[in-house]
Amino acid sequence: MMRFAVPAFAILVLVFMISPIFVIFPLSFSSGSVLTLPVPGYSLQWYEDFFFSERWLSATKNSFIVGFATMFLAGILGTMAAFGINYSDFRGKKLILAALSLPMIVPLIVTATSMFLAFSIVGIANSLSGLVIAHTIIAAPYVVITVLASLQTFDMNLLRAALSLGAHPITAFREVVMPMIMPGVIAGAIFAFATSFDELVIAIFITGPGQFTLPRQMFAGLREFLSPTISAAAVIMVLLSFVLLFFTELVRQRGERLKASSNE
Amino acid sequence: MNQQTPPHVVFRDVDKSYDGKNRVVSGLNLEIAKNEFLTLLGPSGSGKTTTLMMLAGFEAPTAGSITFEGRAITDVPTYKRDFGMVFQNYALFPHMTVAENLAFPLRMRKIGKSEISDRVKKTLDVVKLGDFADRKPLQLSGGQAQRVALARSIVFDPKMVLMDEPLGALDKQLREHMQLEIKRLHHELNITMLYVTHDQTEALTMSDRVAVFNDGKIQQIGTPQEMYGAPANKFVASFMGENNSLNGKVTKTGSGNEISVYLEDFGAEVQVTSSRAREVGQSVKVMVRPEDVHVAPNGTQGAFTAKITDIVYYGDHLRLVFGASAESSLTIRVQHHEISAALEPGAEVTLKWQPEHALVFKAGDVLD
Amino acid sequence: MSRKSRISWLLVAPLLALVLIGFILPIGYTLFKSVKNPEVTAALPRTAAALEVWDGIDLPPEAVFQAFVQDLTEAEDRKAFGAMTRRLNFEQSGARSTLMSANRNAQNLSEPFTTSLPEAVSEFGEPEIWQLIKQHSNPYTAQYLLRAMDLKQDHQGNVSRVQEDQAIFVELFWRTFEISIFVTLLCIFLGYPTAYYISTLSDRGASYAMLFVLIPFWTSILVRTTAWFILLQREGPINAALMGAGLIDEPMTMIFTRFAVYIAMVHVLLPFFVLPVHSVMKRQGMEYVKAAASLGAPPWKQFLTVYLPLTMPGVAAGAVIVFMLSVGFYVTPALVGGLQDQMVSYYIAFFANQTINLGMASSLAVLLLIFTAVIIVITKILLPNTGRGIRA
Repeated sequence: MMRFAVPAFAILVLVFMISPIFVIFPLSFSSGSVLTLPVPGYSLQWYEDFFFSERWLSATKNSFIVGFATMFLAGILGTMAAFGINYSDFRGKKLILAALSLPMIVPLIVTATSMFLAFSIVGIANSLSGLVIAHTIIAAPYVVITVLASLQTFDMNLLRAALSLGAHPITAFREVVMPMIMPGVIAGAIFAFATSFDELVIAIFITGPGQFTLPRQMFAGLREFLSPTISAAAVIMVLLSFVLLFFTELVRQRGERLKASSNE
Repeated sequence: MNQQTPPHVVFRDVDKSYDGKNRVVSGLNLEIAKNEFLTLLGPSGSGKTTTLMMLAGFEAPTAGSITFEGRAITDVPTYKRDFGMVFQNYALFPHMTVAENLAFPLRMRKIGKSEISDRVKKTLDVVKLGDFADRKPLQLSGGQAQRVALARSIVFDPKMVLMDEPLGALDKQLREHMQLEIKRLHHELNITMLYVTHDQTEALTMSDRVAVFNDGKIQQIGTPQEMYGAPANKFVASFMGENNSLNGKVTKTGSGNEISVYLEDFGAEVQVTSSRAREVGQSVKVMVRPEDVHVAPNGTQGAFTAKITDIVYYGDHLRLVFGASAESSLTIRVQHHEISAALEPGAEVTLKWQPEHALVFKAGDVLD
Repeated sequence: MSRKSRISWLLVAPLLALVLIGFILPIGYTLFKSVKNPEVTAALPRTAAALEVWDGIDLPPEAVFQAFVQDLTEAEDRKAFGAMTRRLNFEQSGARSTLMSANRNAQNLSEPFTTSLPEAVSEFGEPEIWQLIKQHSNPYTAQYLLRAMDLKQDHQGNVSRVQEDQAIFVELFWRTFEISIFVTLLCIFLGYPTAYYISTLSDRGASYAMLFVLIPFWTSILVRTTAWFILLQREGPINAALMGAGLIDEPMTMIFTRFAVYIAMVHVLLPFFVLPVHSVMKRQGMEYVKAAASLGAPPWKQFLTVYLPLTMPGVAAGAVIVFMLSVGFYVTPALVGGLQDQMVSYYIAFFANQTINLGMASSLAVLLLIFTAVIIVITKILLPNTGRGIRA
């Protein structure tokens, strides 16, 4: 009996985990005007609503702007930091690592409140740049972790081989090291983008009505005016998550293949 | 070594320490002759790999100097040294094809495209991998990968080839095959090769000379024959090939090298050779190789009897084990026809050896 | 410093600087804000200074009255005055109106103020209001932090519990703790068998199964919470299905209940548990369990004595992640829970964004931070192997 109980239970849990997400798909095509299922009929009205609404489009635009900015900033700073950490055992390394991982450990609400208090003083509490800085800070640790993992599994002999074959250290880095750790860097960058795009709590504190991001706009929609356009926005966000997940898996598999052949 | 040609590489009084206290390599003096195949042999941590790394330029000596063709190279960065290198895990660039891997050093030397493809093709043919140019390292077997690594290390006509335990990851048969391949390559290319390994059979079969390392120092350096037949101390004697180690006390000394020793475990006095002077009553270790001990007819002059503890079948020969304790047991090799098929453990046989095959070393620590 | 170290520092510096200035400094500022008490000294500078010599018994001297009236009549910053009245009202209800009255009458008072002021506003003839002002003339205060623990301190320094109807925060922390523990236990109960099942699948099967975990993981928390918001409505699909199946006659109220918070939070946090546990299980493999089986242990013993201890580091890591995330959760309870289901984070946002009581907001944040730190330390001590065997 146990034999079937565990797999059956697990499958139920797995179905539980994924199904709520799909419930919003049919809802977004509903021709009704309230958020209920089953849908009375099908219509694209809510998507029209979304794409023709200044509010929603501007929110989406903001999310992409902040997302890409975060991706680049966190990507570059995080990658540099990972290299620095991996390069040598400098004094204070442990402390630095602890400091850099704090944004992951501190509850997001505390981070959001603190940044709100501090950024208000400097005057960036209601700006997209403030949001970019905030998102970079919470996304960078993940970039550091991903790139560091890539670096630590990098076979140093590859670098030594390149040097022994006559490559100047910079050339060796460019031709041998970078291609091998690129999957890790890209994976980290994608994660940084996703973290920023989906982020809501900090956005609640640090954006004003002119700079709402997509999640912030959805939150306002849920709290204040319950329009099914939200479900259209939600579907769009889910589709974007699919795309990001797909690319990450692609990059991860390429990384695995490269690693497998170098660590013979 | 040809006295006319100056040595290719000279290590003079080289030390290497990572923490300032323990020296991984100490007081190293080594000369590598041009075009010779020199093997650095020793257990893990003996300093052989560090020595190779210092020659390659990946480590810098803490003291002493390294010269190549008469000029100091300690300040020359690795990428300018022009030495080919082969690693144990091949270190082939996974994102490049075999041909691109080989082309890499030629590109670094700004050689023209057509000449590159020419030399790549020729070198691949030398290692018999001509059809593998477009494969990726992931698609190669261990043996093929190692041959590509070898090819990559010679395609640019280096001044010397350094190999760090290149065959360690291969299985036995492949390893033996590759040993011959490398030897053939050395012969064909006539290039200096420095080889590091912990496998003494490899050292014996491939090298012009062998340097045995232990504890950061060279214990002995010489031709394989010298190393095997005339080990300078107990460490070399037990590291090179198989060797028995028996406890004994000196009973008689003379003017020459031959002395008499009483073997405590076998209750017999035997004739042995000692390269150093010994005192009567001194505790010593007698080392004799399994193939140098023979079964003799009863009553042979200078022989002794011993009870067989075990008979082990080795396919093409047998081994007889005498003596119970692990500390002092004697194993000998015999061909099937040398003994009676009815021989069983517990039986007594007469054993004899030539005095010059039994070497005497100080009891106790490894060095003599 | 060696050349290598210098290069390392150079590479790490930019991110470190950003984290220091944009994160650590703000948190420090929040700690600071939780004890800062500037309103009274800002609005009534002379009064505050004059009150220093008063011992707090009976009434303060004329000099204080004079300073007070002067502060009121010569005050330029109306906002500061308003902030001060709100601040003091927070400590003692009614103080605001008292102060406003004083402000209205200040122009018309004449010396000696010790008589004229109490005549106009009777409260100033009693020590309480003066003690209150004096107490908060200190630029630093422990009141916010104390209040966040349902305590208060009178002007003599005695700490006591606030009135029952004002004591909400201890209960709030308990509620937060209780909800988080329950959610964590549910995640363990649901997630452990699931992670185990995935680890037993073939590579291909595991890839498909992991999709069921990864897709929710990559979907934003807001979207998943929104999905539950929709599902749990009275006119939502769950009610519709239950009624359609004949299990209930009329729709159940599920939204804005504790049940909604539990189910939505568990749904959101499950992937955070399953992923690390699965990673450890995959690493461990079944060798040790098989060894136990070959030694004669029955399945339940194989599990209890071999598999469970071996996978414990992963379970501990997953549980800690889930617990810490849920303790600081804002979005999900705010959207699907009722007022009785809100956790600490809700009140932090409430004080920061709605009542602009930054002292309370930061105090609650500080206490939450301390709470989190304590959890981490306890975990590191009790379960030192937490997280071992997890690959990024």
